[in-house]
Amino acid sequence: MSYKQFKIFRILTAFFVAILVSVSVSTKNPYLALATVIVGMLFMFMVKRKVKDTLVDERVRTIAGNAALSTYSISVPIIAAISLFLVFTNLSNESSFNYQLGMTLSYIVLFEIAVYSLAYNHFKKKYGSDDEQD
Amino acid sequence: MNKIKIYRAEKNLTQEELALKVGVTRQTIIAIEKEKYVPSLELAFKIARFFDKKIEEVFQYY
Repeated sequence: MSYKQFKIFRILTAFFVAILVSVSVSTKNPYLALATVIVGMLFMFMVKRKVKDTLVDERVRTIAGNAALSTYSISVPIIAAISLFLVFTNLSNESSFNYQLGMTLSYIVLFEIAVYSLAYNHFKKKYGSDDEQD
Repeated sequence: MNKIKIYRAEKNLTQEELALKVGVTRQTIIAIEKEKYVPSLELAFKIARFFDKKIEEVFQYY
C-alpha cells in the first residue's frame, strides 16, 4: 500500500470514528464510543503495517520531538498557574469544586513533569550521558 | 549547501525515487534540497553513497 492510499484510509477512518462517537454521545452509549475508538485504533494499526513507503523518518521524528517539547514547555506552566490560582483563591473552602479542580490539575502537572523526567533520563542514557568520562 | 538536485538530475531520478532508495519520505528530500533541513550524518552518507560520491562532494558547509 502506498502513502497516498494510507492517507485516504486515515481520513475515512477518522470520519467514521467521528460519526459513531457523535452517535454514541447523542444516544448516551459510552460502550459504543469506546468500541469505536478501539476498533478504529486497531484498524489503523493494521493498515499502517501494510504500508510499504516510509511513513516516519528522522525529519518527522525531529519535528515531533520539537513539537512535544514546545507542548510541554507551554502546557506545564499554564496548567500549573491555573491550578495554583484555583487552589489559593479557594483555600477557605477546600470542599469546593474549584479547589478540587485546582488540586487535580496540580497532580496532572506533577505527573507530566515525572513522565518528562523519566523520558529525558531514558533518552539521555540511550544517546550517551554528559557525565561519562574516559 | 548541497548538490542533491544536480546529481538527481544526472541520474534522472524523481524526489520520490531517491526517497525510496535512501529510506526517507519525499518531503525530507524536498526539505534537504531546499536547505530547510540538515540531514543526519547517517542519511548524508547514505545519499552520498547512493550517488557514488564523497560526502563533501554532495554536502558543503560554510
